[in-house]
Amino acid sequence: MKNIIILAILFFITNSNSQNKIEKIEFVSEGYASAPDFDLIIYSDRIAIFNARSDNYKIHPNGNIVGYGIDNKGVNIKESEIKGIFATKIKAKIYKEILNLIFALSEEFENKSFNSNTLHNSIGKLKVTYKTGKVKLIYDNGMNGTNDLLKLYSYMKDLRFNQKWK
Amino acid sequence: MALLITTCERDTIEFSDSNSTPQAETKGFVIKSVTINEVKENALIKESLDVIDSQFDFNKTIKSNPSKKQGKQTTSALADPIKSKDNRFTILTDEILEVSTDTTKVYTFRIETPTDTLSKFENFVIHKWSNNKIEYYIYKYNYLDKNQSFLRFTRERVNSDQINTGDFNDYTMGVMYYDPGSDCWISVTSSGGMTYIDASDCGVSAGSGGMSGSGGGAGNNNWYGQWAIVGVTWSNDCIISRAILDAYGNPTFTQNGSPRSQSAVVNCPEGGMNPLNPGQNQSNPWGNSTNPPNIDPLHWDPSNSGGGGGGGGGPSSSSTDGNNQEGTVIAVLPPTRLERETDAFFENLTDAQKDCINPGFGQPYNSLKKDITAYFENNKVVGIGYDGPLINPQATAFATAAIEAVCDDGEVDFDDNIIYDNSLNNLPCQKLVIEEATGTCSPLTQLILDIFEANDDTNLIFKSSSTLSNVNANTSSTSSYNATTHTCDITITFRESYLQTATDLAIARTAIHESLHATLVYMFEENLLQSANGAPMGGFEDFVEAYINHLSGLPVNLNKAHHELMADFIEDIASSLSVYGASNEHSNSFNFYKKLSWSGDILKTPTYQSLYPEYLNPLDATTNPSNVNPAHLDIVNTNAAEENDATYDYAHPNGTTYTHSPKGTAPNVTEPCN
Repeated sequence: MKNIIILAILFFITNSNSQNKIEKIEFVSEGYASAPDFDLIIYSDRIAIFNARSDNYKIHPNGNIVGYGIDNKGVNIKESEIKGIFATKIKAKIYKEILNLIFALSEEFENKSFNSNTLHNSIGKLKVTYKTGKVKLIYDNGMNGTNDLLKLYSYMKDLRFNQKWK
Repeated sequence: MALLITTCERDTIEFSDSNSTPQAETKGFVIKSVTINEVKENALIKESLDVIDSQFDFNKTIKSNPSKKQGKQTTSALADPIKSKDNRFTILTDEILEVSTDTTKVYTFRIETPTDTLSKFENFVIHKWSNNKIEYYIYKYNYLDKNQSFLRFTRERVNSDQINTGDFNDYTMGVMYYDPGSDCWISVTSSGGMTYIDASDCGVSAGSGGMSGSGGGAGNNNWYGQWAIVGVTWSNDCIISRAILDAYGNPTFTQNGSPRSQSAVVNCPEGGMNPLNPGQNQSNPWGNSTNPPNIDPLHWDPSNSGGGGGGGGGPSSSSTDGNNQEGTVIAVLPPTRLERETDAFFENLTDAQKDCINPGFGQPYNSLKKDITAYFENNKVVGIGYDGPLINPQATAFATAAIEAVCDDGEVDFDDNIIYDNSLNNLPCQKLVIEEATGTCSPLTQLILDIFEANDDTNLIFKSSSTLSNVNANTSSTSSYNATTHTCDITITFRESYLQTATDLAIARTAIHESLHATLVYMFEENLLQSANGAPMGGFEDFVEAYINHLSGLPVNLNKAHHELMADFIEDIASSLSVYGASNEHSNSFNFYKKLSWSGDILKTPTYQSLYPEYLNPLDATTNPSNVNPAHLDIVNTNAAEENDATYDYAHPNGTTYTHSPKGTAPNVTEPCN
């Protein structure tokens, strides 16, 4: 009897874990004006793909447009731009932190969509594919949906520059 | 509707509504509506007006838009006013009544804003007496009672020689129900929507005629019924009235069939003012140990008691300054229906709003009251058979929103239903740029202004935000209902640091860009982008579809839809911007303004990218990223120079170093503005 109970608990835990196991995390940023356009795909084996489409600047621009060349303060934001498709294997600690950020989004996944009542918006899209085949989506027009989403966006933006992309 | 007063001499006077007939000849005088030019055609009056002309500003008052908008000067709703030199009052000339007899003429004008806080409305009156002497008066009217059934006035003599000194203390006091100045009892009769006022019983208290006694008496060949309490004044005095009888004791009637009567205000009888007060003798309300029954305590004269004196009347001074002793007829111009509705609007404001809009007579916020009054004048609902409020209900909603905004230190453009939030107050010069940019005389900005001017239910609000980041400015994607003001608001928010950094040309461009967004939002919401069958109009299919999906909660990039449509308006934006530039001493080519008009996400549209791709050879994006298309570089750096008020140098692989410096000027942080 005791063995049966232990087996039942193990089955529950195993099943529960597999339901929560994430196969792939896809994040898309469609930035307004000088805000970044990029895709990040992170697989369960911690392999990450970074597609820097445009306006991925190490020096953060403030306004709509980034000029070419050096301005009269000696700053060249354009030169700090990353472009291209890159890959890396992120550290386990970072992957775990990303998972925690994703797990915190249960309510957001319920809502699925967030819309800001303004026009000059960046758009964030999150797609999480579980090992069970289940897919969860969030569409955030304005990238201002909830505080937990903002934490994730910030983390994803930082990943562009704090990893050794190849 | 005209309201008429007579003073003395005339026993029975019948009046006509001057609105129903342009000219009405009555017994002994003619009343008609005249124009200011007709007034001036009278040689004597013209001579008089010439005298006034030296004291009054006869020039048309053109109300300049405070925003200094190009070509947006607006004539005051009340055209051709005559302003007193000391700015104390303004005489309106849109409706003038002339009352003429064989020997006299009296002209009555409305006064725009009462000179006296106690006045409900005021008239400016020019008397031309039979001896050709001219006198000027301000008649100050207010209502005696809460039901506004009893009108009273005071009269102020205006001396053209004194007008410079502002000394208008030469008051002639009088009360319409009893005018001690002329010593006239004045009958008031209402009929057919018109009030007739008859000062037929003059001089009785001076002993020239008998006073009505118990059971009725007569003066000026009239007999009277008993006084009865018919109303209560604001100060809880009693309003009394008595019927005018014929020689046989029967009631007399006007030609419209209304009973003729006289009214007066007196101290209420002992025992209280309530006619139903238990124990009070209603047939003898003033009866006590000193007054005989039913004797009006104001005029009871023991020596004449006993009634029926007759006589009376006759010429009595109509002005206590004694310049003229002849009687005359004065036409009264009461407030128009619009003025009454405007008054009601201000009366219905909350106490806080009232305090704010008018903290004290002559205090600053009175200008807002004037602006709203003029705004209502410009937003009258007119139409044959229309019987609703004259002021468009949406206009009252906007006015309420305007009061809220101004009382919160914001600013309102009443011409165009644009509200400048108080967040812009610490950036006055930047606010001025926004006002001027959206007020330029160009097809696009006129479309924008016309839309918001013509639709009082939708307000355009400009504001600034210190928390907005990454974007220069933003516009609401849909209008928001404001439950307080009952208006729909489309808000344009500028990033504060952008306003503090960018040149005036960049700010102007952004203001026009965002206003175009706001216009498109409005046009979609009002179904102006759809044909009668509901299908989107040609060229707007994708835009309308994006909005429908957006409102259905479906994922759609509405921002993209807006900017793709706006790529078709580059020439229009550039045109507006060039007008702004020219009016602010910028001499730039139209091509420069066109480059500046490609901004924000318009640069990401297929239209832009096909015209000005970043790389002429797409492979350069990876193999030679410095080799950007010079035309694209020119547009981007033209924008960057203006937005950041900075100079950019770019050493191009083609050997040329491209330098872009700002051509605009960053507005001053504080006034005066550069």
